[in-house]
Amino acid sequence: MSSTQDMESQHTKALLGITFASLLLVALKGSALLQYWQQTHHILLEFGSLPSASSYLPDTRLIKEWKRQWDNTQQYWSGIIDQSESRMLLAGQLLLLGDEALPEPELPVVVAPVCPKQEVITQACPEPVAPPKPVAYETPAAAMAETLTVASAQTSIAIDTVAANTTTESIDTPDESQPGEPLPEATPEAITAAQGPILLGANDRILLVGDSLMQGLAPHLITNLKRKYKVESMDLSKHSTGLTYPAFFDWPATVEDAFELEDYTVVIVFLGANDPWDMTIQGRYIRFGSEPWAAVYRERVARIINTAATHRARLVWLGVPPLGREDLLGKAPTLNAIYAEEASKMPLFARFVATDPTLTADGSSFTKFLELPERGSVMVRTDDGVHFTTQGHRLLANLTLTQFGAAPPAEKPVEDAANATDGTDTGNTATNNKITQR
Amino acid sequence: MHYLSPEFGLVFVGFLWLYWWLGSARGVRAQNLLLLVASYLFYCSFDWRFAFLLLNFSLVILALAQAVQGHNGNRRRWPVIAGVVLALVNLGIFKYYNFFREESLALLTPLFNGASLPVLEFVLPVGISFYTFQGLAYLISVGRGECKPAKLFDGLLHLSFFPTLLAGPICRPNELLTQIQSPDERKIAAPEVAILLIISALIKKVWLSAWLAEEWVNPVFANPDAYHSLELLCGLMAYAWQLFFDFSGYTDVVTALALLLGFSLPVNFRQPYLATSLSDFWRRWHITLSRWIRDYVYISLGGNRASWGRTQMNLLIAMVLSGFWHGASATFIVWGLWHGLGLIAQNCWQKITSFTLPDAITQWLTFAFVCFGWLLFRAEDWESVTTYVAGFSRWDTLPSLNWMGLLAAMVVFFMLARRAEPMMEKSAAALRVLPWWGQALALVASALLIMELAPAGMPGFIYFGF
Repeated sequence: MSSTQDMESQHTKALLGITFASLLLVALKGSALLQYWQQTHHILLEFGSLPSASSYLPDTRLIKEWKRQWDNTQQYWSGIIDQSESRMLLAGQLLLLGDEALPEPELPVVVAPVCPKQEVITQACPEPVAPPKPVAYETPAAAMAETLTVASAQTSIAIDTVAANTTTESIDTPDESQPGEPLPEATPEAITAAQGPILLGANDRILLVGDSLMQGLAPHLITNLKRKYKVESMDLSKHSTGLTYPAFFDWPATVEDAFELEDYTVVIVFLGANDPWDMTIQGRYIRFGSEPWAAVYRERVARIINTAATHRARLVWLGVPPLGREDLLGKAPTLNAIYAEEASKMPLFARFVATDPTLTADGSSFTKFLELPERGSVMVRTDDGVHFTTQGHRLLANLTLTQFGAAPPAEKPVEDAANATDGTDTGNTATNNKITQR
Repeated sequence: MHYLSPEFGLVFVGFLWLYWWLGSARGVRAQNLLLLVASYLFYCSFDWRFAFLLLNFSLVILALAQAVQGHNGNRRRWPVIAGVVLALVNLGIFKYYNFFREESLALLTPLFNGASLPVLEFVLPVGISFYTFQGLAYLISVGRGECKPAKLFDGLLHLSFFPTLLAGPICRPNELLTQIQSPDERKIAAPEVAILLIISALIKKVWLSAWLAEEWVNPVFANPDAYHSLELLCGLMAYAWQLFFDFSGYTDVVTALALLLGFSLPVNFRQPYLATSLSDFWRRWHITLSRWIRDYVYISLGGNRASWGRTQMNLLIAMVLSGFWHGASATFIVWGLWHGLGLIAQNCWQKITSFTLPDAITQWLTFAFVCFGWLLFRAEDWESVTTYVAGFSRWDTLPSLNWMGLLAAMVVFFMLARRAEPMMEKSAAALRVLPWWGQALALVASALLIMELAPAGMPGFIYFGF
């Protein structure tokens, strides 16, 4: 009898321990839990926000001081870790490649600012920008630390030649080229030219943006773009992300930050599988597909497109193919309509590429298998009804690649009727005004 | 619902109270019934059709097991044969149909113009490979007279027990079924071990596996063209450890769940990368699968009872089948072939010479061999394998990843692997002396720390939809 009681008390203790631990974790990580819940199940719990661990502490001066010191300590250690990591990286590079690994102090390129033609002058001629001084690094680590700043200082100082502006809404993107500078005019000729293939050369840099759809596609794109055009790509895709839950991951801001660091010339966006859900904006519940929903979503799409446009980068927005999962059925067209419409507002820079014709038999409904001319019927979508098989990725990569063409090796100045070139510009048409410049 | 998701954790905690209350109020049979219902509900949370398929499979296997015993006490053979055929056909339809369809079309097309096989859209039921093997192990054991046919509910629970349902361990009937059938009152044998296993699972799966994947494996495998030869090597080693952390972390958590329900599960991993030979590796990696293959494929083929050459052939067949079990793709078959040929080469060496290399060297050779195997395991197609291998000759690219840091981490992993067992024992002993709330605090503190260290914090470790 007593052994039974012992056993029962052991169960109870074990259960108490596990329960206590779970409740404590929920209490401490409540906000993370809610975020996860919203992200995974798309159910909005109307608790406002659950407290995080620090909100339990009283708001006294001593506690504030502790918090401050704790933050400082954390920053200090993460700084130390980052520093030692970059040192180890450089040490590894030096070990393998010797002095070649040292980043060369880049010679400054003097970009002479050129006044636009008389008839389109809208502002004073910009001052010549002082180039960064060549630096002699004392230590490899110093050189390492400098690399990033040198690279960003090198970003081209694009001077726009056309005054007219197609921007519909202003955005406060920090733009290292010319903030507030007008975008080129979308004349019919320029638009026709912009619809042709985007020309790529070895100096171009491509930014890949998206969710798990892009994560699967990116390796195929990176390899093919590199083989075909010798261009380097940066893949930022992250699963479970989209434009519906910026609290979890904020794509517009991420794209802006990416342009801060690097002068991308092309952006390819492929997302949306995580987006067809209701949102709450400032406590207000907005149903997917409703007018307010579309307005909020549209603004986020526009922010990404505008960031690319202000940096004179071309943007290819790949549409979401039909989704075969039960709760996502029929939701892709709503998203695609927004992408297409927003892209059409910036015809010189952005284009929407529908993926439905490539990935469906009838052009609109979900299918897992496709009849391919050489291979017969092949599986292009995975069992989840959302993602793609390798075969599907290949089809998508080929579709994306049709948007590009090779930039002519020798760049000659081209006088374009629609584009008032400034004479020093190299082959600059409105079609690819940044790409061929570089 | 996944075992490491918060919703599973919270529901499971509530379930535990009900389960143990039922145990003290109504006894083991009521507990079993509750487990059976819970297991099917859990499976339904993925797709109700999966549960229906599992029920169907279980009923057929259990009925055939009943039919083994003849009226005059003889054991019949036909039910076992029928069961094996049916189970394999079932698995083949759901897991391999499209593979065979595409491969046979590729073969047929040159011969018959316009050859076609119907397209059937099957969704692979999660866990089907595991419960099929567990069901077969049960049926064959009954056929061999090693165990008696189970009663209906016991048998159903044996094949659907939710901790082992999704990805093993693949239990023998004398492991799980006997525990289900035992009339003795259940107990949580070692709650501190369960807590320790949960912490270990969090470290392995949430932190280390995710870190390796994010920092090394995903970038390197996504675009091998961009990396230095040494980075590719490091990426491969990182993938090897990622696989181990992922799968053994998973096994830790299901073992902990079973412990909290009063069951003990067989060991599935025993520090596989410390193996000093390939056969040693397979005694340490996914042990429950290896022994299934040994018991039911290798030994059924004749094992090592015939000639030496025949033994090697059996070995090769068993390894290729083991490879194919992992996935319906030619690369998995080649992966099985790689290991089979490796084992044969090792046997040849042992036959020719009695010379043995020091353990330190054989351990590294084994690890290197296994790592190259993982390259096939990960690859989606041939092209990705050749691209990766071609990269090993690239010595002039500027490395962009901290390979020295990774090598240091590898050294730490190997050192920890050597001490893993005594470390676990000592930690369990330390936890045992703590009161229940002390154990809970230890779990919370570890969980918070791991969430801080893990690459994406709390949400990152859960399997999201996309």
